[in-house]
Amino acid sequence: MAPSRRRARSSEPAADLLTSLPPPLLDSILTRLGLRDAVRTSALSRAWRRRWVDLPCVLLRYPGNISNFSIHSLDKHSVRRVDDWLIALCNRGVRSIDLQAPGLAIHSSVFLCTSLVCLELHLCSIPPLPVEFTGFPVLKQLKLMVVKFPPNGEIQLEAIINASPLLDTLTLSYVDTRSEALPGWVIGGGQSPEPNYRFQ
Amino acid sequence: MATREAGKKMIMLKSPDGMEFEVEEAVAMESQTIRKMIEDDCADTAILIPNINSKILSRVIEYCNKHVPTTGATGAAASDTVAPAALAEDLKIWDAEFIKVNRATRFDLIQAASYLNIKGLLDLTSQTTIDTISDNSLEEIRSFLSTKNDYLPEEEQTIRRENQWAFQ
Repeated sequence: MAPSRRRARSSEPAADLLTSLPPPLLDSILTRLGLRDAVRTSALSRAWRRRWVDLPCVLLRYPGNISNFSIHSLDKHSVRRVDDWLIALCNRGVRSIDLQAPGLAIHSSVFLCTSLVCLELHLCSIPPLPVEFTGFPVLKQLKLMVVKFPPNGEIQLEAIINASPLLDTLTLSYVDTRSEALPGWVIGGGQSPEPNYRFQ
Repeated sequence: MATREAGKKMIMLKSPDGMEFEVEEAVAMESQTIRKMIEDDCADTAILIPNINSKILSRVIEYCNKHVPTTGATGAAASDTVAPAALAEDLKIWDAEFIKVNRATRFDLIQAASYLNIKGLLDLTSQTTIDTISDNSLEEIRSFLSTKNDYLPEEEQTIRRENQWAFQ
């Protein structure tokens, strides 16, 4: 009996008074933490390392505006939270989103961030435009690299460009619009004096 | 028994260690879990509360007893005589005293509040825990939570560097 008990005890230190609570209950407690305190818990022990990333509301509890949002590498924990982050960003006056998320189908709320000046999406699947989409009134730069639109994406891309009156730099590279036929592109000037459109 | 006011139905709550607590139905129904049992007619005269020992259950009942008049719709008499603000202040002071318990009891109360679905008690116990985490150093938090720091020193340094702003 003695050895097995010792073994059980030695494998236990991972859990403490809080992490031994049922996960949903622990979530409901930890979501009360401010962002800084939530992140700080990562240094407590291995069991806490990524615990804060799983909190659905971490970003929502950050009190200020978020100006630039950039993600270039995602572990499997973060991937599940990108939707939450994008939803939370919508109302935070975000000016720049730069997302590299291989294979990820990003959330359509990215199209509702009306304060965006710069939007870069790499290596992800573009969702259909949400019905609430009203355009990007101040968007200046749109960069889409190796992205995949829903079927007939050229119509959606056109709608985005049409609804972005200040757009001056458009970069499209390996954009799969899943069109039935190759679209005939007609590029107009928009309101910017010298629009800078690049296609690769 | 005529002196017991009409409408004050009593409920028996039993803990797994064999203790029985007779409480007013309104007090027991501060717990949404028990309320559901009563409303669904699953409750006989006695309700067994699993996993919550008599020591914790008696504290939970104490909490519900204190909180029932302000949240219960029928407790008009109490609010007629005392101003709501004073009543709320009194409850706050009472809560602060109530939660002065040792760590183990506090975590037992969290689990009990969660199982019995008593929002006020869960808020109180959770917030006290959160305040402890917010107000203390990592070392103090570890000691409070009985967390064993199983990082190598250089690992901990790396983690601190990853989000340096949070550790300043």
